[in-house]
Amino acid sequence: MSTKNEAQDIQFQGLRPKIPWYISTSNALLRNPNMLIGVIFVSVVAIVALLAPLLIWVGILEDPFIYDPLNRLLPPGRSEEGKLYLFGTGPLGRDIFSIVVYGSRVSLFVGLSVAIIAAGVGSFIGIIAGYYSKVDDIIMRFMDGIMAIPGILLAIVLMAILGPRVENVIFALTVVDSPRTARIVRSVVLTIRESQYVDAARAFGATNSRILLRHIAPNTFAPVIVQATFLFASAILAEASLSFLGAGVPPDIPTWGNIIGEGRIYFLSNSNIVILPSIGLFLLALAINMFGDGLRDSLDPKLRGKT
Amino acid sequence: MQRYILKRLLAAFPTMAIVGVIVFSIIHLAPGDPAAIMAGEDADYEQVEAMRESMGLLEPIPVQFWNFVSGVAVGDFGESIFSGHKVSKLIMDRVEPTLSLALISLTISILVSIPAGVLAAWKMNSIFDRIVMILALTGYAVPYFALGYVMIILFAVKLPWFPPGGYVYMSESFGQYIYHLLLPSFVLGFAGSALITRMTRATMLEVLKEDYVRTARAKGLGETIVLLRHAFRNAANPVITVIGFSIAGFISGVVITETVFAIPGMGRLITESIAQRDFQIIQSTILIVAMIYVMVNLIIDIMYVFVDPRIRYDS
Repeated sequence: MSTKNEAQDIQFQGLRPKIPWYISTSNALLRNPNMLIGVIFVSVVAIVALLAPLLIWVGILEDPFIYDPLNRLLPPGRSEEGKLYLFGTGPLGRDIFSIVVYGSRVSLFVGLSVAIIAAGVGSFIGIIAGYYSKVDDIIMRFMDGIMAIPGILLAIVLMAILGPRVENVIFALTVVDSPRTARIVRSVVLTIRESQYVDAARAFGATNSRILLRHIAPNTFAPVIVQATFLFASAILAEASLSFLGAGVPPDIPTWGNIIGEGRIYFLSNSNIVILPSIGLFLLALAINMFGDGLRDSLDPKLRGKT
Repeated sequence: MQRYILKRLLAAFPTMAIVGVIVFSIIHLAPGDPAAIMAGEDADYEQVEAMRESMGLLEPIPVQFWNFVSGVAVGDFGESIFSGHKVSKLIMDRVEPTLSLALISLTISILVSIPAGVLAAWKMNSIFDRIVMILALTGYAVPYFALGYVMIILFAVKLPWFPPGGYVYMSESFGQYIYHLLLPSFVLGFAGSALITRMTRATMLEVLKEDYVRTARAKGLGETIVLLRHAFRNAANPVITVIGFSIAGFISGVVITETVFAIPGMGRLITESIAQRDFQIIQSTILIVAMIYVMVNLIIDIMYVFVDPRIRYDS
């Protein structure tokens, strides 16, 4: 009886209605509470970040660009004039709470840009290296060379050469992160290249570019998207580290790394300047990683729990 | 086996060569004229030109590259643009703090994360496993500098158990040397442990499902022997690989940890040199750091031979 059902199942497989993407996505989210928490937190941060200029305009949020020397280094709470500084003020009198809210814009922008560009560039390099064995060695030795230089050092040096601008931070971190993506994609391509459906496509007379675009690239998508979420989190932390070391975004732009760097010498007397923005940084990176973990588990159960 | 080791040894050379090219290009792409900086603010055109000549900057680029490579080969990294001191000496003074910090934190994280990963996999979904996985997830997301400052506030200021920073050379006092390195090593080791713990747990989970583990249990072996001799030995390879990768992370972390704890190491040397635009020091330090990384990974490749007998026979 059961064998008959199985046979029918196979027969009707092509006719079975496809589950729409929004249902499969919400199922995956509900099955994995960690991922749900991550998605909700990142979404809330993203919405607040997008609305930050509006919040400043209506006056709910202090302008993080305003220097107020009379109110510098205030602890969290109300100032003498009764103005509320939820997280206190920095060494230049800027409201730390607004910097934390406004700074998330830079963090998210840099993180997202690096994730997208590095994933794209890395995939391209990885696909070419994995598919064309003639150039594989040359490309991968070059990638090994870049990876032999510890990421933050390479980024610092590139920033020293290029100068402190947001675009340059994105470029520097992309240079650092692309080779790692390329290595992952290459290893995936090496396996797919030998698969039967690629042989079949070739036997049908498909050109290399068709095989690459139609058969190989789509199969690298899952590992790349997972890698991109981890790049997103690590780029946010790296941007903050660069700014903290004074080699990142220009110091007048309110970012988490900049305010932490500013507060560095005051951390014994005014630890709020360093600690509160760091908590924001930590929670955002944590939420993105939780999302990435969940994404990996649902895209590829074989990788569950792997790094 | 010898062939495998030789192959690995030869593969390290092109990587180093490419690092050399990258580092050399960085200097030549850098804005600002090192000869003008070296000659000083009041120098006129002739003096700058003379300085340029004495620094070898008038030679064709390939000749300059050759001079750079042949200098590095005999340990001559040139002079600091800023202070005029020998770069090799400046770096040698800074090697001890950086290497000590990296090695102690690496040791701490290996000693903590491998047992934690093995036990978490053994007792999957237990409370211990949950706690370990949460800590590992935290380790990925916590910024080194934030953890560093929190540790200083908690364990050097509120509870004055550790010094808040600084460094004592090994030759001065070994006890003080370790004492000063404990807090920074913990900070660096915590973040480094995350990756190693997760990898150990994941590979152990896979290995524990294998038939030979069930056979070992079925024939009545104790859990310790099953875990260590049968399971962990087979899970060790990916763990060693990840330790090799994480060396780069440790070195990156050292740069930030040195700044937080005021440790005069190579990371601080680089950040100081960047402020002074001293590209001579920057390029040499990066070259040496990359060399250390390539060498560590070479040692790890060779370690496989001893950990995994299959490599011994295959090649």
